[in-house]
Amino acid sequence: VSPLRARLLRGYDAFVHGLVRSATSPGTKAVQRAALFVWVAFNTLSYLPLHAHFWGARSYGGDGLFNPDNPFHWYSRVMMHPRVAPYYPLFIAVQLGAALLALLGIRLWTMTLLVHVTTVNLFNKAWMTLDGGHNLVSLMLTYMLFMNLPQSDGGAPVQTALSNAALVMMRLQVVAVYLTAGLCKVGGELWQSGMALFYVLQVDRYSHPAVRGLLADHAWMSVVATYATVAFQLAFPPLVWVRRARPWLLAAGVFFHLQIAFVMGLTTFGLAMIVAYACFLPEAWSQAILRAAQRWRRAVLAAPDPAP
Amino acid sequence: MTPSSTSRRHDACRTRKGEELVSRAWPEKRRITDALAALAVLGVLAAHTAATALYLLPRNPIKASTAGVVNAYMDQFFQQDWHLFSPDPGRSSLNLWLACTAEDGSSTGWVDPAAPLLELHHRFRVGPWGKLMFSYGEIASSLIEATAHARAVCGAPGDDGAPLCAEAYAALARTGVYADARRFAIDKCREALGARRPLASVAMRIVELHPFPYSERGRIRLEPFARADKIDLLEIEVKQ
Repeated sequence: VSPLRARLLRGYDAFVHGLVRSATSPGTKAVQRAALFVWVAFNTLSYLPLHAHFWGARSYGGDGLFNPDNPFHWYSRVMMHPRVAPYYPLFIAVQLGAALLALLGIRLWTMTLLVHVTTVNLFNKAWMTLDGGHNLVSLMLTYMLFMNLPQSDGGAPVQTALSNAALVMMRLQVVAVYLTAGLCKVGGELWQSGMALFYVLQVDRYSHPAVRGLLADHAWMSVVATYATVAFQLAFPPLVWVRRARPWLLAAGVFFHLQIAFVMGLTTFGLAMIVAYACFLPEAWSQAILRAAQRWRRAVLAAPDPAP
Repeated sequence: MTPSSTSRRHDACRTRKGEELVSRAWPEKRRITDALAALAVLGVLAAHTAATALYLLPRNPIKASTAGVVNAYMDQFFQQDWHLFSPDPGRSSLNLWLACTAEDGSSTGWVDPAAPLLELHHRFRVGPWGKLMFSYGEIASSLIEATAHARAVCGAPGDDGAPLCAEAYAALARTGVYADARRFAIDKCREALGARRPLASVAMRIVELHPFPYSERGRIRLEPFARADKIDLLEIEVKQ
């Protein structure tokens, strides 16, 4: 065998074997999975105090959403079926219970499927409240159905390959978010002039009273933040694949999305983007996070009862 | 497989550092099935990535010719929109204001049912109030979309406070969006008046609030908004 052929063969073998016989980045997958399930539970719990306004008799905009002739609606909108609608608390209970069991690693694929079906139904019913965060999470949950397939740890070639491909797809999905948003902004007049954030933050529902006046007094803040937003969204797609740049990029992204969550008030979107970053974590970091979580869990379980 | 070929295969599966790249036990038959599995999954991944790219791209000839297939696939579980305040962010907010009149003739005047929710949303970023406020805003947005055609028919679009003409109003009243807004208005008015004052009628007003432009930023601390565009809908008589 010539050296070149041996090299090509080695590369091919490594690629095929890596795709179908070994679970790529198991730690990263576990952290991503946990982060998504925590977000799903957090989102539902945050809606819970006013559940009837979103999913029950006091909700609006839900009529006619279920079409019995559409086979997909029997999965993703079955909660809007007139006979099923009154039982929406069951969907909430199943979603939260399945998310908890999935976090504990019990019947992972079945629980992922239950979280998926209940989440898309709850999202579709409360469509008036959805933002990009819900959109991203529903996509990530769909990819997770493939990521968490049984025997995807190298035991079965197709399942393993699909699981590995799902992780790649999650990463590409986050890249697609930034690429689309960044390129669309480049053509916008207000993003070009640096005044986009000034105007966004004057709309009371995307702002906070303290911030409105601040930007009026210091216009340069709007210009810097507007250009930084576009620069970040355009830089993310190519730079996230560069190992050395990735930690800095993710740290900047976390800061950027915390601002979106707490200054603009788009909490679910801001936190969903941060959760989606988990798929880019290096395996070593993910393993360290998992070990820390395990230590914390042991410490909690081993904690002595408080004195009477 | 001969012993020498096994040895060659084994040698080929080590890195320069001598680390084993592939399992020793990787028989020829399994290599073929693995290669086929890899090929199939890579094909699916490539097709899905291409569909996502076409779905997200701006209008172009390829997108136009493949839209039927791509949308049918993507719209079920991969629907997405990442415009996120672009190309330009919205510079106004839509609200549905209500005026509730009780049977005894007393009235609430124009009230914004989302106002208390906005205050809570500003105070508590984590909670359901912001979400509920957005859903009220969505009722107003859907309603203004539904009235667009009606206002065009009337020939007086955007008249401040002008009621819609009868024909346009009749068409609007047949829409599901209007039925939803009507139910919302009656519910909110009943809450506002309480059980002791039965509701007699409800008036709906779509209000678009425009913030101050940068050139008038000095007024931001003095007034909540620069301008309000209003569209009044016909009063709804409520039967008990």
